[in-house]
Parts: sequence; C-alpha cells; structure tokens
Amino acid sequence: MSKRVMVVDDSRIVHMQLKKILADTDYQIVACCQSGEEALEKYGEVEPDLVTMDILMPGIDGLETARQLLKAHPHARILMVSSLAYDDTINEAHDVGVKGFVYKPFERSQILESMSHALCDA
Amino acid sequence: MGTLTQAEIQNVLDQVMQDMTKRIGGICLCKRDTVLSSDMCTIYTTFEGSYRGALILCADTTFWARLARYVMQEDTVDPNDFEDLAKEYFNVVCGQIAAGLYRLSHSPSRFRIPVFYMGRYIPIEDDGTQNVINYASDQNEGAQLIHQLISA
Repeated sequence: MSKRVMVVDDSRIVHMQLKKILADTDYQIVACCQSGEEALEKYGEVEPDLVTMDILMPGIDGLETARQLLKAHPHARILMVSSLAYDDTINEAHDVGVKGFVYKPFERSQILESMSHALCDA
Repeated sequence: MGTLTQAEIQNVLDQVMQDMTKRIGGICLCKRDTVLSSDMCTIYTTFEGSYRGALILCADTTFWARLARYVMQEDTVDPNDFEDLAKEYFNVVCGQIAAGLYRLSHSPSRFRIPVFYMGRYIPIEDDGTQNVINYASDQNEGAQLIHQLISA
C-alpha cells in the first residue's frame, strides 16, 4: 500500500520536484501546503503517513510548525527538507522530534532514502 | 561578524555561487567583468544574526530562463515561473552561504525570504562599502552578486 505524503513548502518548484521524484514510487502526495498555518489546518483532514517540511516560510516557520504539529499529533512523522543545513538548525529540528533532515538541493536518492528511514518503524 | 574578514565572506559567497549554480542549474559561472544586458531580473535578501548583510543577485533574463528550463526539465518556461524559480534557487544559495559562514564563525545566521524584481533593483544605500562579484556564464550571460554588511 502506498504511503501518503504531505508536502509543506512555500515554493511551487519544490512541490513540482517532489511530484516528479515520487511519481512511480510507493509514495503518493496527498496534499501540498504553502505555509505552516495551512499544514496545521490540513494535517487532521488528510492524515498523511509522512510530512516533508521546509523551514523558511512566510508566517510560522517550519520548526515551529513541526513543534505544534507534534504537540497536536504526537505520532506525526516529519522530515525536514531545507537549505538551512548547519548544526544549530539540525540540532533544533531533532530536539523538536523530527525523523530526519534532507539538505537542499536534494537528489532523488537522498529523498527516497530519508523517507524510507523516517517510516522504517511505521 | 566575529573574526570573519571581508575576504573570508567574499570567498564563501563566491564558492557557493559557483557550486550551487552548477549543481542546481547546470550553469558554469566564472568571475569576470561583464556587461549586464538591459533585460535582467534581481533577487535579494537580508541576513540576520552573526552575519548581518544584504545580498543581491542581478542577472540577465537569459540566465534565469536557462536555469528555469534546467530545473523544470522543460524546453519552454513561462516567465511567470521565473519568480518561483529564482526564489527557490536563491533560498538554496543563501542557505549554503549561511552554512559556510557558520563553519567559519560557529555563529548562526538566518536570512529572510528572498524578494524578486523584474529589472535591476538595488535596495540598499550606496555608501561605498558594497562588495561586488561579477560573473559570466558558459554562455556569456552576465550576473552580478552584491553584498553589503549592515551595521547593528
């Protein structure tokens, strides 16, 4: 059975890239959100198996969104996908409780491997 | 910003620009004085934290078009897509710059969401402290990276 993915990123380019990467895989994108607020609203509605989350977005940033999402849905699985790839941010993301961190620009294999890892005990 | 010199900052900016433009867009840039065409687009942001500065990239529209075609894997790209493409490209470039500066200074910097303009737009005052890196691409498209430290 395919795994349901919700993409949270303010860039339509990233939505498009992930759709291309995940086509013909066992992952199905069930929602694309352009802000943290939209993600918080939509999560309960679509109940995805995995969320990919950017950090730098208008309004609530991705780390705060992840924090609020995990507070409301403790079993949510979140994979950060961001260009802010340095220790402070990565440590903060892990403290929040996300399942992994993928640096932009990403390769297809990195995304698929990280998604698989994030869902390995699902 | 801490002990970083202008030369160190300039070196990080240049390395990231060349590496990421090649990796994201398949475009080779080399440092060279070049004349920008009158048809260009600008993307800019400001950094906060240990590195406080403005970073602006003006480039020929043909550069943005080629970058968009490569990223989107399409033969033709709607100019309306340039803005999204330029923002995401610059988002990645700035993230890598923040990471590069962090490796040198061990102090984090964050940047604002990039802003895009059709045409040339320099949103900072010219007080003589701007640093400019000029590039020409492998197809002779011009690009100009301008950065300016902002005092606290």
